Amino acid sequence: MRNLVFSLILLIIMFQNLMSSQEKNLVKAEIISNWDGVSNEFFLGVKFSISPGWYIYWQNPGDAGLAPEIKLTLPSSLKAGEILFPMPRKITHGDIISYGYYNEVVLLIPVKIVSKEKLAKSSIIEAKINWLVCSESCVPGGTTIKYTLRKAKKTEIALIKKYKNLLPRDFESSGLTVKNFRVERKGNLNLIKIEFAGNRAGQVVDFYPNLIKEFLVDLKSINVKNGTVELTAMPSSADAKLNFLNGIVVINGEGYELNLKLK
Amino acid sequence: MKLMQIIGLLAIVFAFTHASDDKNKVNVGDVVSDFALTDLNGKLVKLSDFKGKVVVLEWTNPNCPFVQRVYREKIMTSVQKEFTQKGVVWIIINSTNPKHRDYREPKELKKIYDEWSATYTAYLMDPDGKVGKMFDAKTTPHMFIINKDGKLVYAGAIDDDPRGEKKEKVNYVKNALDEILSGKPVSVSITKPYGCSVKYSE
Repeated sequence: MRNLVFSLILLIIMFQNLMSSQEKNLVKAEIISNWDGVSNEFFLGVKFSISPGWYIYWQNPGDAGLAPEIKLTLPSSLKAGEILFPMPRKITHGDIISYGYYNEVVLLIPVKIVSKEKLAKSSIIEAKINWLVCSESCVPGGTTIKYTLRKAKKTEIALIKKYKNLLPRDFESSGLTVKNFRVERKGNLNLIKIEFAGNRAGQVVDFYPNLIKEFLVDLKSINVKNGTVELTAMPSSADAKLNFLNGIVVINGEGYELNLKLK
Repeated sequence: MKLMQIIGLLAIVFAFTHASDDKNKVNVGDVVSDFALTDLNGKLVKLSDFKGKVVVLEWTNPNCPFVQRVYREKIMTSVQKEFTQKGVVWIIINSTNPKHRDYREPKELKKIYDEWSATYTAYLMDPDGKVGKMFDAKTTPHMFIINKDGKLVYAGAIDDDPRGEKKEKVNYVKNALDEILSGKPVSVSITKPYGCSVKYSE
């Protein structure tokens, strides 16, 4: 009987270990680049390979979740820009809206070579990467990768090209113009209205807002109809004034980066 | 004709139930309608049982890594302890639907939260998510504070540190409770909650 209990406990522990090792492998992160060995500018990419059915988050995770975090330690020969997030998918579970990526995504970081002499001496990049991966449940993960900058392989260049094409484009290239941008305070709510003009105004299907400091956008409130986007945002404190809005305008699955300021 | 009448009746019932859902939805500044849920011992607990008291509602799911962290780092328990000692009512609510892999039976929840040294007035089960949806609770943790007049005065995160890496954190719930107990208005009444999504049935 004692042996049976012991075997049962062992089986449970083995099963838990198997589950946790599977959960640890839900996301694989790699560093890639498109450096041709000559140019002074290139993209560094953090490629996330995500288990089927699981997803990681966009820069604005939405109602729940957390955006991935990349902390780079660069040699003095290199200088990095901001992380660029490709177009996410809108993920809806009932009333809870998230923005994220299934299967695979490459987050891009523009890098400049500031000194080729120094690069010859040291070309090791360290990336500390953290993420939250969710499906039915959520599992945090992270890794630190040391990457030596070298001439990129064709597959890396192709992958970075693919994800560069998935970055939100300049709003000016959408063929749209902003006819009207209005923020109206009604009680505790800010009612935001953006009216677009142009041939493709009727094709606008969604708007993915960036996070707004001191305001909470009700993602359920986002309503797009006939070239007009309406949404509501609640201020953290009574005196907070909303006079700008940033986000992505979605047309035919493509994103256009919109940055609006009230005059 | 009969079929049309049935469809009409169903439409009215649907419209009524959805209208009442919206009507019951509570926003910061609103007086909170009464609700009743059973606690971990199966006893019915109503919000109105605590009339005239400051009430904190904490949405939770012990399987969520954010909840585990705020308990492990005593961010939640230190506020629970401090303010329940000052007479604040602290209600933990679990809206995980029973079909979800994160669902835990009341007996198991009691054991987990005892091990975590949680201090609470009541731990309530909301398996159909009715009360969670009334407050629009989106994450675990997601915090709400009701003042002595029954008005919702805070909705949002426990603190300003979703990644758990800040040395100096702003604990929004502590700050709001300090303000309430010293008779001041809550200066930060809405923040973006962070955490796992509440596991409602879809």
